[in-house]
Amino acid sequence: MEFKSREEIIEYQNKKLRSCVEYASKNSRFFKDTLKKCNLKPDDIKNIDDLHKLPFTTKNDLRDNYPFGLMAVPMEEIVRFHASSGTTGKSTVVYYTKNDLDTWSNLMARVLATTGLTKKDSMQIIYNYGFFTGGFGFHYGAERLGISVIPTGSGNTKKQIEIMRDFGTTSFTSTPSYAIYLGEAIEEIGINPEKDLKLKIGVFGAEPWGEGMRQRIEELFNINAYDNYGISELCGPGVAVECKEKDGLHVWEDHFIMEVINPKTGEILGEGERGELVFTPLWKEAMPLFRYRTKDISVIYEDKCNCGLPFRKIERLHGRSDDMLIIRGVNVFPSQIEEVILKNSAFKGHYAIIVERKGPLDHLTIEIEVTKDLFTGNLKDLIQLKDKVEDDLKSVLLVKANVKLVEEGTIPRSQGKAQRVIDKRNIDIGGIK
Amino acid sequence: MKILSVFIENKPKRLSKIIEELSKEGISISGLAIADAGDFGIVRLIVNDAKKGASILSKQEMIANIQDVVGVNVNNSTISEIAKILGEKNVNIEDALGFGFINNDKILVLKVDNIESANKILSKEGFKIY
Repeated sequence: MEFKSREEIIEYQNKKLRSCVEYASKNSRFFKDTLKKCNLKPDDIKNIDDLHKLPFTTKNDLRDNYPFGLMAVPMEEIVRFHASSGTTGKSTVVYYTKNDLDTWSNLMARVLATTGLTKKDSMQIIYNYGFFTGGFGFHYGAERLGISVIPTGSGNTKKQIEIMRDFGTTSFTSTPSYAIYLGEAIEEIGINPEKDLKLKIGVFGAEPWGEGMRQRIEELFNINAYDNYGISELCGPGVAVECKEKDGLHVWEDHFIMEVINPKTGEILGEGERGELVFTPLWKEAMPLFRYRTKDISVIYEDKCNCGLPFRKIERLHGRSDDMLIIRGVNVFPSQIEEVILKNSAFKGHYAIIVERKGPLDHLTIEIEVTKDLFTGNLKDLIQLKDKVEDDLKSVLLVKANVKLVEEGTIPRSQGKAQRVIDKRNIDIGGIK
Repeated sequence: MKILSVFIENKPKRLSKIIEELSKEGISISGLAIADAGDFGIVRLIVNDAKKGASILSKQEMIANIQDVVGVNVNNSTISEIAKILGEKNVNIEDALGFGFINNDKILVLKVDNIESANKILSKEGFKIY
């Protein structure tokens, strides 16, 4: 479907929304209950301006209806389950019909094509294949596009490198933190990516990462690194992706209506305002959702992108409202800290963020590993570096952080999603659920 | 002369670990100084083989490197004499890294902005340089 103007997209969304509401009001017990509770009829939701009449759907709704309470088709129509890791309580389960998988594969094929990948490429999928949507999402999308899929799965760094070299892999996907781990391993065993590997493109996601990390990954592998976005409740990866401009992520607005809200009050915000992203997928059979709160923080904006895609963008993610730390009343996202650390190029990306409460005050300490490249033998240089990072952090975060330089290898390495924040305060920050 | 500089966190047992690893491999230490900046610091060591020392510590995942410094025999002179001589010839002493011993001779270790000319000047004045 080609769109010539914003109006055409909205018109299309309105049409899709009406059919989604009609479908869900007939098939989804959960949605029927929602309408009843809010005293609404399907006809009350005619276009996207009516959307606000519906309440938000949250992760708690999914937990309360564990495992199959949001299912809108008979079980025999379900062809796949995924589930997100439940760090707090039960995991949330999502389900797909054959058509759902088909649409998801198309969305993922679009994601990959947008980064410049074609059927001539091969892609190493360095994600866990299982309940996590990353592995299968990329797998199906890559296959749909005709890419030669190399399903190595996550872990086993040595093997990953061996396959990368022997197969002449041209692209790969993983978490950005694993990409750095992998890139450093490649460097360490003396493989020169430019000469010995055929990599061109990497697509990364599943955790927030900034421009500093992008630069590091691109240098380590000699590739273009692109960000992509999605959460399992909506389908998994396949909601938004960066085009070659590397300036914000286009959202597939012909498949999702997006809103941005104040995470504390629920108030709907406008373009350009930072808040929590809320999505209404317009295509799901097995599990229709309306106004799903992602807990991801970003900004919606429109620019006439050079790539020609008509869809609006979201800024690269600053983190989840869950990840947000409140330090002495100031909102701090770990990704902002990471940005500063990696901008000071001497650091390689191993750090930990430690929050403590001493007396009535919160103390933010950033432990950063000193590496061989950076050690000149002069105390003055180390102190200068420490001061520089502290100054940069202060100007970005607006709250003081102490930088502590530590010996190499003392911060635990991660192979999956990075766990970099250690909050020792043991208090409920509340209010941002 | 060359000395060994090691990055160190200000925590118990870090210093003894460095010394232990070096001694185990037969490196003898004849001078030691610590410059500290609170949570972390740098240990400077006069050893019989700085290069070997650095590689031993690197293998233990410690951050070490070798620095060129001025080592001057001060058996029969004082630090102020040395400072005066260098100052008159416009060599700036950036840091005094401490004293050590080589074969029972007392050595003053200095970090200067121009090692080559410092060594030349001191030799000319009759000092033994290492």
